[in-house]
Amino acid sequence: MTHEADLLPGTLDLLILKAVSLGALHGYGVLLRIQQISGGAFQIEQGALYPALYRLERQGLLDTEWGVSDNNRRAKYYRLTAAGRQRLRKETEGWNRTVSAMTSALLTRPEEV
Amino acid sequence: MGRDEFERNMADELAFHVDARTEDLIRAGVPEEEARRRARFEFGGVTTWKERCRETRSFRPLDELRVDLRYGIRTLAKSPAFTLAAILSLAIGIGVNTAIFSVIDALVFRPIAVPDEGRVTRLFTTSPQDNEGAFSWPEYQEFSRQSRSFTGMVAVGGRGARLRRPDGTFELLLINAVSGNFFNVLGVKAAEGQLFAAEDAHGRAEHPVVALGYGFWQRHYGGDRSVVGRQIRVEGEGGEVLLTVCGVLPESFRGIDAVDRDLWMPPQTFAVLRGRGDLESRGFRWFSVLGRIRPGTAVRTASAEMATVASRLAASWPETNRGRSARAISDFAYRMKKAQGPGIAFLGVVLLVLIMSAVNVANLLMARAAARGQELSIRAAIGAKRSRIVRQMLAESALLGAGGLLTGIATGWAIIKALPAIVGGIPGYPIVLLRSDVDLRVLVFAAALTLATTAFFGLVPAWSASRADLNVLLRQGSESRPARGFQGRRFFVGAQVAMSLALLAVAAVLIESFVRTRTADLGLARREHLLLFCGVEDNNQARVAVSRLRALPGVEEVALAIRAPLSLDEGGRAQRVSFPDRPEIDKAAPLEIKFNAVDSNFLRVMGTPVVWGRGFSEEDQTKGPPVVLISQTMARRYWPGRDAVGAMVRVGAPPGVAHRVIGVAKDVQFNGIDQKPEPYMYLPWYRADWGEATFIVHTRVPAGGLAGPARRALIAIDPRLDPISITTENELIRFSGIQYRLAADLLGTLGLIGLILTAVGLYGVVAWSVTRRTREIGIRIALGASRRETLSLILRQTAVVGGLGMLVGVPLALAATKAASSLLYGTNPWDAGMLALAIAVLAAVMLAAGFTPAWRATRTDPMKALRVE
Repeated sequence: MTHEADLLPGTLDLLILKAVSLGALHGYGVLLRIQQISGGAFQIEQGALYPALYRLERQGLLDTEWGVSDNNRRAKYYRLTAAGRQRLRKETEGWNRTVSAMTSALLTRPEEV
Repeated sequence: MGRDEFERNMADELAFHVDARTEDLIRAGVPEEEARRRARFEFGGVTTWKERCRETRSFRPLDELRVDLRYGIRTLAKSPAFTLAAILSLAIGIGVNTAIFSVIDALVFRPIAVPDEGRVTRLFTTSPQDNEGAFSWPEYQEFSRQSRSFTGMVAVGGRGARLRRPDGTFELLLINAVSGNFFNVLGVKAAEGQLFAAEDAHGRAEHPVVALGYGFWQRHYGGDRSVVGRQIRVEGEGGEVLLTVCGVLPESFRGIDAVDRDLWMPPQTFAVLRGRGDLESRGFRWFSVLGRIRPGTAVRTASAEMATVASRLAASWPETNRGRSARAISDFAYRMKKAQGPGIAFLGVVLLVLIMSAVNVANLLMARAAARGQELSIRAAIGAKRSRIVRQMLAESALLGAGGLLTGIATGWAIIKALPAIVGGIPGYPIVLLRSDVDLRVLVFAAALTLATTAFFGLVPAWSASRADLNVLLRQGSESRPARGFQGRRFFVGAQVAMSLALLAVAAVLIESFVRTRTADLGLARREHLLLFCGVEDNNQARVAVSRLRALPGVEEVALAIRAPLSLDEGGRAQRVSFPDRPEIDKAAPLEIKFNAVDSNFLRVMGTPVVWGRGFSEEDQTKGPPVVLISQTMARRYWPGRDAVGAMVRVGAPPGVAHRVIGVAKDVQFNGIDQKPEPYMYLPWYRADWGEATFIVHTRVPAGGLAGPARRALIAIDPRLDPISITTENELIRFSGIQYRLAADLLGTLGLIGLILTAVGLYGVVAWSVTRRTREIGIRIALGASRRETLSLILRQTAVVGGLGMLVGVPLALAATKAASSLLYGTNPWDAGMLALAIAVLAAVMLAAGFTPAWRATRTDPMKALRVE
């Protein structure tokens, strides 16, 4: 593993929504997808995924369905709902604004003040 | 989605994750064993994550409650001894108290069941001997007419009548003659039909009406509504009369005393039944009178007015009313005065038991909390929120409380239903004396108190556990529970010991007093006497009956009297009396003395000795100048320091018939075994027509066995001789002492319950401390402490708690027995022997309760003890 970072509060939900937006996944799949798209940058306590998934489902952002996994086992698949998609867009915009603001703030040089 | 399905799915989902991770690791070349271990490690604490997952959906309070309750049931089921002890303590507290209080309430506290009962006032006529005298009918009418303090005044007088059954036998009925305005003024509404009112009760002699008591209506007509308007046949003075049923009383109204009456009639109807004599007599006072006081009028003012009217009556009718006055007292004050003795004493005891059972539950819960401190702290540490734990503990307490409440209600109900059978009826009459129902107010009170106890003591451990420092707890193990809890428990057990001693002391003196009722000298011999109370046509018939009864096998002797001693009629009739040699007595106030008319066998058969002079001879009964026997008290009161024998007594309305005193008989407790002896006279039976007679059959065999043959012998003479009541003298004695027996039974039982509660509490504390000190004891034994030393180490603790409890208990016991002194018969409330007995019993029980766990401590295997932690 390369550089491991702690998750900022609130970012796990966003990562999950993003991961699921790329296709229906079971819980373990969500973990793998996050590691894949983030290049393994985040250290996630695996069990913590589930309370987050349950909460997002409860908020109507995720839909669930029981299906069969690659290794032929019963598994619960999560899919983004319309509300979830909307939330993902909003949160992404918010995140981008935060990042660009933070970036420009951090790049500020003395003579620009 | 149900709770079970949710749990199953969640478990599946998490297991799938761990399995999938394991497979990936194996595929990456990690050995299987290691792969599984790592997958689990990476996942983290499954319990915690599950708890968090649950929390995401636990916004449904009902769902959560169900889980808490189920968890509670599981935990309670795991410690059945604790659960049982707690529920039983609650059940005893709620059940026994509800039952006892319901009964006391029914007998003493419950007001007359009428609207606006606060304005009901009790009125009495008074004389130097009696300040709660009744009224004669003419007196009632005068007072009612002349007084201004009341919006209405009613009179009620209880008598007996007979109802002819279809098979020709008779049933005794209790009737109430009441003033026509009775129901209107009190505001009693009919359950069926109509109750008579003052206006329509006038001039209806040709159509006498009667209202049925609710119980009578149920018993005889099964609650049939069509009874209104029908006629019933009742045996009157001059033969059978037909009375028209106008209505039925409501179930809630049972009159002004505890006895349920069968028939209620206006004076006009009573006159048809029994003649006008009893209504016209100014001196025959058999009516209780109540008034509804005018709003704004003080009871004191009303009482003063009553006295004024009484003085007017005394001036107009000196013959009957000289020296008499009258007074008023609010019904509430009257009931409280009556209740003061027994009621308050019982309430105190009830409260004591209630507190003890609550203390016991508190004690059990605290012991449990000590044991569960670790479990709760761990749960708090792995992420259960404090509110969640508190809720769970509350659910557990609520379960205990509900279990206790249900069992308690069932217990109370069962006791109340069993009470009439325990108390019994009035001897000789098919009357259930005690009617009471589970009292809702008491139930609510007892329930609230016990539930509050469980809630409070259930929450304390939850609160402290959720605050406890996990590390400290885990490191130190069960020994780490702070000593404070232990001090609390010791305090509670000490309090229990004190209360238990008080209860036992009261029980001991009450049992002692009950034993005294069995042995006390009543002035008569406790022999086998069958008593048959009948109406007799004339003296000839009485003579025939006596000879027939004497001829029965097993009969030793037969005597005749109006009433037998203790026969529940307030000592029988009274006669106007004056003494020619003591005119000053008659001047002060007309004197009435109770009397019995007896044949010449009576005193001998009853075993009442004539202490001076002689008893009746056969001749005295019919021939020669009239003679009278008087009681010792009468002799002492009216001829102090002189010889009463030979003195003259004028009996009857003045001038009265002169009777010569021929002898003085020993005082007999004719009214009740606990009453002070009163002046009393015996007149010869055969010199007048008394109308009613009690045949006293002294038998060689148990008297009850002759009831059947004796009754048949009487009916064979005349069906009308069918006894109104059949009982035995011993039964009357027993009944007269029933309050002492009941008090002894009740307090004996409560004392035993208290003893058990205390034993359980003490056992719990000692057993718990033994468990807590297992390691210490193990070390002591390993170091060579003998069994005796170990035993005394533990028992010393019992001794300290018990000794302190007793120290507080002795003054408490003295106060309690003093409070109970009105329940005592010839017993000193501060009987040193009984107190010592109570202390000894309690000490023995405490020793036994402490000994078992102490003995177990001596068997501690030092090796095992050291490994315990």
